[in-house]
Amino acid sequence: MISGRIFDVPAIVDFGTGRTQYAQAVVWSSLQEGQVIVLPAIAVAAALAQIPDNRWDAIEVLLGLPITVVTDVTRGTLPALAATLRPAATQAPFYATAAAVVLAAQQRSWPVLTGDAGPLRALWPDVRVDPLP
Amino acid sequence: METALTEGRPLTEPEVTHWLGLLKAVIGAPNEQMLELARRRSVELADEQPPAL
Repeated sequence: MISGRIFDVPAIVDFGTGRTQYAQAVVWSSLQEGQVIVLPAIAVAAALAQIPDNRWDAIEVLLGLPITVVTDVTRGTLPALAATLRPAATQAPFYATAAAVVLAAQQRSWPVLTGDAGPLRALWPDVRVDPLP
Repeated sequence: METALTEGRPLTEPEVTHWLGLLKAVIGAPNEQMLELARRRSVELADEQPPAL
């Protein structure tokens, strides 16, 4: 059975910057073991905003790997995304990225690699997390 | 956007070697300690029961 991880914004930033080298190790071992990396597109954008321009090449490679799946917000995913955002109520506009990550985790039943589980758990208390060291 | 892997086609060994080489070119060789941790966590996470929605 195929398994994998969803990458939250801190995980993508960690991959790009190499701060802990854990996200890079996860990608490396995922390639070796045939595990999938899911990148919500909005999380990639939020991460790129925090990564120096000269490290964007690493994200380009990550996006192009044959184990990488990029999930988009589309007209078809809007109802599910809205349902995921509902616990945030009036704060929903500020949780859109977390909701995209949580939705991917719910749809695939896979854990999320993140350095900040707070916003994810605010939307889905049971989300499984692989914490950055 | 799905990937070959999620559509049921496992990567071949030459493909894995090619992509690891590309990865190494941009991020360098992986930290062995972190690699071990990532593998261990993968096993632990696979053993966990996914939460019900």
